[in-house]
Amino acid sequence: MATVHADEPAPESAERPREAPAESAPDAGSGFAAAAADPDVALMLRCQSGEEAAFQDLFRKFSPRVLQFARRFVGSEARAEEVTQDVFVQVFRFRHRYRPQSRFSTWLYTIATNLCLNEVRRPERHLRVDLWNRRDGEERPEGPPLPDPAAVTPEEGAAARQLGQRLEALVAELPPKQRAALLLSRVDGLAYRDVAEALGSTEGAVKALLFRATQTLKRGLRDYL
Amino acid sequence: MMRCRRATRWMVTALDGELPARRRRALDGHVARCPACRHEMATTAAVLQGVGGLATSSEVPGRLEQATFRRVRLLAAAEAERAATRAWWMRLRLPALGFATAVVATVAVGLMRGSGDRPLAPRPGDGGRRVVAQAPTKDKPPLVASRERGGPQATATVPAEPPPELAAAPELFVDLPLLRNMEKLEHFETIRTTTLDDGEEQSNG
Amino acid sequence: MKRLGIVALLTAVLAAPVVRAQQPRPWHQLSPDEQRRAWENYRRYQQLPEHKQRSLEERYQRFQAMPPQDRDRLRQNYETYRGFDPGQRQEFGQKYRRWKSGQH
Repeated sequence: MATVHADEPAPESAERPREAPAESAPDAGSGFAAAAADPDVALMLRCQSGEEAAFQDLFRKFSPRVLQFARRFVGSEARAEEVTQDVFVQVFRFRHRYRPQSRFSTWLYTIATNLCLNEVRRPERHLRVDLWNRRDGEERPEGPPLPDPAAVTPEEGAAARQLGQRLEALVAELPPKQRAALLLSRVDGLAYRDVAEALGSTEGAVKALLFRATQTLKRGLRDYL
Repeated sequence: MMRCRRATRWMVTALDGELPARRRRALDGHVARCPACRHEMATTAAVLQGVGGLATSSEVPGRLEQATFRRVRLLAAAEAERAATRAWWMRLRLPALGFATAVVATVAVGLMRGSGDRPLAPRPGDGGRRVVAQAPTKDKPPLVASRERGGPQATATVPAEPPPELAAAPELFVDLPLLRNMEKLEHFETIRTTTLDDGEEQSNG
Repeated sequence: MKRLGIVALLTAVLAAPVVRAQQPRPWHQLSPDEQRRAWENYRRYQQLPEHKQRSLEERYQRFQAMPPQDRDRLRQNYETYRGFDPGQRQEFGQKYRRWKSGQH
């Protein structure tokens, strides 16, 4: 069983925790410089050389995040797992296309975003919201509810869970590109220019997507805010 | 003086730490003076904080890991098999190439001696085919024949064994022109029925 | 009648489009003409900058994931597009830019 990656702690302020900005990485004129700065790049270079163990390490590190990302785009758990598998098969198949000047996670999320957006375009897709509507008493080992570290009473905890579920449902209803931009930026912590790269878009377009997404969420959460 | 509309548009970018410093100062100044925007900023911050609190990862079932590794192993095996097939083909071609080169050299020497040591030069207009022997490199597979300008068409320039990138996704390259125009083709009818201003409209044909 | 309905239902289910993308054809299954086109396009592709190559690969993934009828529709549109004379192509380009500017 793959190692569970703990969720990042909720930020004290609204400023999001982010991956180290790309500007701080040393000039990756060569793969070696980039590999020295970023262990994921090193793993990917080893994967390009044919090391199976390096690919497996990358999978174990990133698959929990990719799976959670995929679950927010597809209509079933099984399909989310299939998409996750497809993402990593693409990583392997096109491994020689990866250039160490680019962050590995950005490249990975580019593949994941493309495959997830493909899913949304399928006519067979189902509504996303039913992933989060659980019947009473059903155990849910992953995903929301959104725990509230400040919750003291059961009522507060229940309210926080309800808010989390409402938020997940609203995110699931966002247009796919807005949803992808929001998740990549706020949940996965990618910088705008990396989000733009993952979406095959521009930073300006990413800002517009995030603005529209946030406005929609605000309207949907009016009763809670 | 900043307007509320612009301030609202900058809030998400500011809260994501992506707003340039100068604009951030302008926004902060406006928010300090405008109660409505102060409320809007707080609301936006709360929403973004909520989104940031959503689960980032999911437990990965063992079957998913095993299935992925199995599929990748099969892919790697298929790549190795293709590489081995190419290597075998090249091993077969190189001796034949050496023999052909020796024959050509012998004939050339014989012709030179017979023609009184006149150098052999191509006659004008003689766009005859020639077999190009190229040592295979990583990117350039050996060609079967090459085409001379002005001469008769060669039978084929397609390599006997395609390079790995081409073999991995041949239909990508068959459909390349379509893919280059994909957005236009996806929304073809919508674009065709888009109205231009009178000044831009061009007559057909 | 009931049996007919069950047969019809089974036929519909079995004939339903495959959810997963169809596997692309390997090189040896392409016709000689397709192989020639693929080879020529591959050589052009090699001249493209990295980011354009990646963009094309991403589009290919998306194209392969489409249902067959959508792929056929794009191919038909492409044939129509190829048949445009220069004036029609110019007009289409202007309309495309107008449409694109209304997308954001």
